[in-house]
Amino acid sequence: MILPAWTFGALIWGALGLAGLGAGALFILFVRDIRSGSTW
Amino acid sequence: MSTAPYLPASWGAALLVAFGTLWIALGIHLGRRSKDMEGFTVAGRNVGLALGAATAAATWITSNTVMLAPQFALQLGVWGMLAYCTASIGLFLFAPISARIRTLMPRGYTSAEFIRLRFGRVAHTIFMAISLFYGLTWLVSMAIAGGVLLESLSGIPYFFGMTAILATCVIYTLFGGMFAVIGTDFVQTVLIMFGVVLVGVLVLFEAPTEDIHQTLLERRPMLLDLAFPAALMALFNNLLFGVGEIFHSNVWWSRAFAFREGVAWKAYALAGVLWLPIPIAAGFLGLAAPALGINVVRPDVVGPTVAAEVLGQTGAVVIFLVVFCSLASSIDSLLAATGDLLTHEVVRPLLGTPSDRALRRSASMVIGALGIITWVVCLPWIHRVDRPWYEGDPVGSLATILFFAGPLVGSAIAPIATGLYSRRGNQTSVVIALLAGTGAGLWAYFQLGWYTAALVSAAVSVAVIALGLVTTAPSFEWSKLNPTGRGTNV
Repeated sequence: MILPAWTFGALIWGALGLAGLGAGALFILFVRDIRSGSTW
Repeated sequence: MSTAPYLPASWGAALLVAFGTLWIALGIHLGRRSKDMEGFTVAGRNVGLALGAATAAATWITSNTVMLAPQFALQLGVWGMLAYCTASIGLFLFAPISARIRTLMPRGYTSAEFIRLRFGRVAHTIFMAISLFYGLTWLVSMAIAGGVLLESLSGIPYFFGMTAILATCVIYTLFGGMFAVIGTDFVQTVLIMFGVVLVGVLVLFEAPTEDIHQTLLERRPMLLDLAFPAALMALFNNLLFGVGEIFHSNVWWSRAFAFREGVAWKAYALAGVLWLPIPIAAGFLGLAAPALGINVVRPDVVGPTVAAEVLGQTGAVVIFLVVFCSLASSIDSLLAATGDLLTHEVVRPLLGTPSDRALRRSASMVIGALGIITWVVCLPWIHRVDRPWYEGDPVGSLATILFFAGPLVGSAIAPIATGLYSRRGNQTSVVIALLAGTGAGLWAYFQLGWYTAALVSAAVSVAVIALGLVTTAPSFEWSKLNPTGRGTNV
C-alpha cells in the first residue's frame, strides 16, 4: 500500500509546523517563567 | 556528486570557536549558582517548565536524530522517519514516571540509587554496569560523531573537531554542573528547532512534496510502501530502545530530581511534543535527494548533503550549527549524569562521609576524568578513523553503535517500571531479568538483526519480572526510598 501524495505532504508540512510552533512556545514559556521569577 | 566538505574549514573553525566560547561563557556564568552539591548535581531541585522541557528535548535531539533520521528515511522510507519518531514515546511515558520519582525520592540523585534502595546490592551492581556501559558508549559515540561530522561538514580535521567539542562541553560542565547544562541546553534547543524548520521549509521551496512523492513513486516506490517489513520491525524496536534508554538512564532521572515539584510531568510531556516532529522535519531531506537529482554517495551525511546542495553555504552553516548544538546538548548531559552516577554510587561510598565541599570537588574531578578517558578512546590512532564506523552495515553508520546498547537498556524497562509502582518483586527476579534480557537481546542482535535486539531483550525481561510479581508478596516499604526522611514521600 503506497502512501498517498496528500498524506505525504501533510506529514512533512505538519512536522515542520509543529517544530516551529514548539520552538515558539518554548520561547514564550521562557519569557513567562522569567516574568514570574520561576525560571529556577 | 563530490564528498568534499560543504563549508570552508576557516568558516567551520570560526563557528566552532565562536559558539564554543559562547557555551563556555554561558555555562560558567550560570554555574556560579552551583554553590553546593545540590546545586551542582540537581540545579537546586527548582528548575521551571521552559528550561525543564528544553533540556529534556535538547538531550534527546542528538546528532543521531539530525543525521540518522535522513538516513533512515533514505533507506527505510516513510516508516523509517516514523520509526525514529517513536523514540518520543519514551519521553511521554517517562512524564508520569518522573513525577513518581520526584515524589518517592524527593532527595534522590541517581537512577542507580533507586535500584540499590529498591532491589539491593547485586541488582545495583548489574544495573551500574549496564548504565555505565550505555552512558560511556553514548558519550564516546557522540564525541566520535562530533569529530567525523565536523570534518565532513567543514573539513576541520577529525582530531581537532573531536577535541574542541569535547573540551568545550567538559569545561562548562565541570565548572557549572547541572545549571550550566540546563542553561546551555535551552539556547541549543531553540537554535536546533529553528535551524531544522528553516532548512526544511527552504528545501520544500526547491522540491515541493508533490515532486518528492512523484519521484519516489517512479524510482523507489518501496520507500512509500506502508507495509515495508524491515521498517515495521525497526518501528517497534526503536520504540522499545527509546523507552529503555530513558527509563534506566541517569540522564533522565537526574532531570526528574532537578525539576521543581509539579514541573517534571509537564516538562517531559512538552519535551515529547517538541521532539516528536524532529525526525520527520530533518528526515525528509533523505527522501528529497532523488527529486533534487542528488546522487547520495554517503547515506550517513545525506541530510547535510541535501541542505548544502540546495541552499549553498547558508544551508551548510545552519546544518553545522544544528549538528554542533545537538552534539553539545547531549555530551554535556552525559558528562553530568554519568559523573553523578560515579560520584554518588562509587566515589561517595569510598570517601565515607565526605563534606559537601569534598564531594563537590570530587564531582568536578570525575567529570574531568570522564572527559579525558573519552578523549583518549576517541583518538584517531585508537579509534580507527581510516576504517570508520559508517562502513559495511545494512543500515550502516551511526545505527550500529546506537543499537548495540539496545539489548542492555531493553532489559531495564520492566524492573524500573514495576519497581516504581508495585511493592511486589524482589532482587532475584530483577537480576535474572537484567541478565536474561541482555543475553537474549545480544543473541538477537547478532543472529536476527540489530532491529530486533531491544524487542527481544524487553520481552524476555518482562516475562521474568511478571513471574516475579505473581510469586512475591507486596512487602516493600516506599519510605525506604527516602532514607533522609526529608521532603514528601508516600
